[in-house]
Amino acid sequence: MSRPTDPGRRRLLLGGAAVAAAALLGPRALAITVERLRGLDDPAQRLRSLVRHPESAAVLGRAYLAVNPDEASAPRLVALIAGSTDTADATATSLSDRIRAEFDAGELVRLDGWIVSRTEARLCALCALG
Amino acid sequence: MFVDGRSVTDGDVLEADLAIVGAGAAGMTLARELAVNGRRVLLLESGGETIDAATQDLCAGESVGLPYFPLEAARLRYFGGTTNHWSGTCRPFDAFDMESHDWIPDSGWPFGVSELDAWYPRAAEICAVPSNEWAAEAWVEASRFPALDLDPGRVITRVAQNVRRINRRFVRNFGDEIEAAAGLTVVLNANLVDIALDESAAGVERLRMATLEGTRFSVTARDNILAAGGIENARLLLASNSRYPAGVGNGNDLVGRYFLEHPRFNGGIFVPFDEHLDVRFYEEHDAGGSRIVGYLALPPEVREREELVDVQFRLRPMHPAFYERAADSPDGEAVRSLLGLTEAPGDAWEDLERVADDLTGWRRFIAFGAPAPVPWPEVAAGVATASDEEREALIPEFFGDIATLAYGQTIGNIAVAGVELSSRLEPTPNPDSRVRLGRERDALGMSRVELDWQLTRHDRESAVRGIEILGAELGRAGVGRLRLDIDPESDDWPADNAGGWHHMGTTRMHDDPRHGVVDRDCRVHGLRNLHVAGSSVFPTAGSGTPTMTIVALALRLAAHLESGR
Repeated sequence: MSRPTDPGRRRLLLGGAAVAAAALLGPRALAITVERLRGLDDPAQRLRSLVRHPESAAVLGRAYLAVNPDEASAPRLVALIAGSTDTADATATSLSDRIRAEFDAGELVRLDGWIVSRTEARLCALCALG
Repeated sequence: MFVDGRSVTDGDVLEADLAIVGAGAAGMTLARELAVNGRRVLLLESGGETIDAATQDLCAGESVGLPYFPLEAARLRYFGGTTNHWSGTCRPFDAFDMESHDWIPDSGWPFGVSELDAWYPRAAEICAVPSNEWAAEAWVEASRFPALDLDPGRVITRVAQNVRRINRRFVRNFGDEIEAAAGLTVVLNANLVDIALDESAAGVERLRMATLEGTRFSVTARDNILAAGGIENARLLLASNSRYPAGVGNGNDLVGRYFLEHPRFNGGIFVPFDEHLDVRFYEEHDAGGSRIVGYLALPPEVREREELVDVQFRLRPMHPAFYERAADSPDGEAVRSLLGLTEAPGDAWEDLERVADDLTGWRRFIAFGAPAPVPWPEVAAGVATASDEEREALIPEFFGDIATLAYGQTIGNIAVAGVELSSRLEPTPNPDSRVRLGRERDALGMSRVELDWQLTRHDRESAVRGIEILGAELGRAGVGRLRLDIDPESDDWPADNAGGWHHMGTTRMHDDPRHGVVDRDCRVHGLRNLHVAGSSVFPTAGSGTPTMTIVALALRLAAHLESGR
């Protein structure tokens, strides 16, 4: 026997899901050109520009920083996300690859129930500090 | 032949070669197999040919553990038993389901799945399953919808087949045959109230029967089989306590313990990156001459590595509001009713009228007098030039709910805003999850049942970890992001946790009487002529539905009894 979810609850779930998931990177987000990124001066700003809905990302980002307060600094997060690579070059394809690798390796965090890669969580945290 | 137990004379003794208690899936299968070669079989059924309130009330009891359905709603007590209301979902056990695993205490059957594989093809026929093909790859090929492209080393797709509603009732499929069978007598309205042992206590001397009207009579048979369901089998053994307080077959305090039921609840939701992600393979649909539904699960190597019980995920896509409204509308219900997809079909003529009215609603937008009926020009232009998103809005606006549903199912892949995950688990065998005799008495003077359904911490940990593994794979594969909707830190089960009306394990099978109520041939330990049939003998339950395995085990038991004749 199966019991369908109440339609009202499904819509509420969906609303929350859409808001949060929209915050994260999807494959299309990383099609932003390197040239456009180079036009942004601040590395943190460059990375934030990759996130489709930074306000929503900030919600998840605050959850991340609540349990990782030592990372609550934009320069630190930039360093952790991009490493020694120039942030514009870092975002061309390598972030997407790194995110996939983190999912592959299980290097994941749970933010408000959402299962995301650590790099995604740090991008959200950067938005929270923006 | 059918006999009404209420017409039996008080004090009479009915004799047979074989007495079967319970005319559900197991009992009817056994009766059909064994009422041959001159064997006299009595099939004893508590209820009549249709449901009645007084008999159904005998199923009522108390639930003192995890929240559960009313026991008189989760079981049926009339000819055909639970086959009168089951969902029709079928899948056989896999090898892994029946093996012993270190991380699952009391797991393992006395034999492997190969022994049931010999019976599953016939069980599939009896259950009206069109195909004995269970490999997901074969169904993906047969289906017009793709499976999700996930790494099979992490998450797999499995397939269940759903028997069409019209074919589910065993009474409809086998009732006439049973009535005509020469050696078989079905005694309706006959309730087993006591299993009386012989002087040696090593055998059953007689079954004491009673009707709600007060008639008492006995049945004596060379062999006896309890096939009354996973809760009732245990209750009958426990209640037969005039000689031994613990009941019959209960020398090791195992009867009623290890009650297994499949927990199911909404474990999470995932949002796809591509709103047109096609998950229709995971919705019930026609493929290869059957009605199938795909679902996701963890492969054996992952379960072994992570030490998890079996976890499966049913996908429930959530579509934009316009489609959801059409699906929930009276027109949507009418379509489902006519297609036999709903539990409670409406009046067929009204449903037809509703569908016809909706389908002809387009006339409002047709320009008659043209060479052929064509839509008003502006309507045609609008639909033809619209974007996918606009078209999805125009179709319900102009063409009604039926067309909207048809568009979603055939022409277009309606946008998926999110996918709800219904988690279903294999329960760990737990001696503290049990059926007991309650304090209240029923109309026959027997103790009502008390159900104390319990799950283990390991079950819950498996539920959480299973969803995490799925979320990791959906992320790795670029499908989307998953949200876990059960609290990993809590010990409580989700508020929507419910069972599947699967009552199993209460007279579990084990060759050692210290660990089981019945042996590998379903014979009650210590009793030469009492067997048990049905899901109460399952030592483990997998995460899938039990009906095909119930029937396969009944066929196996019938063959065993026939060979020992």
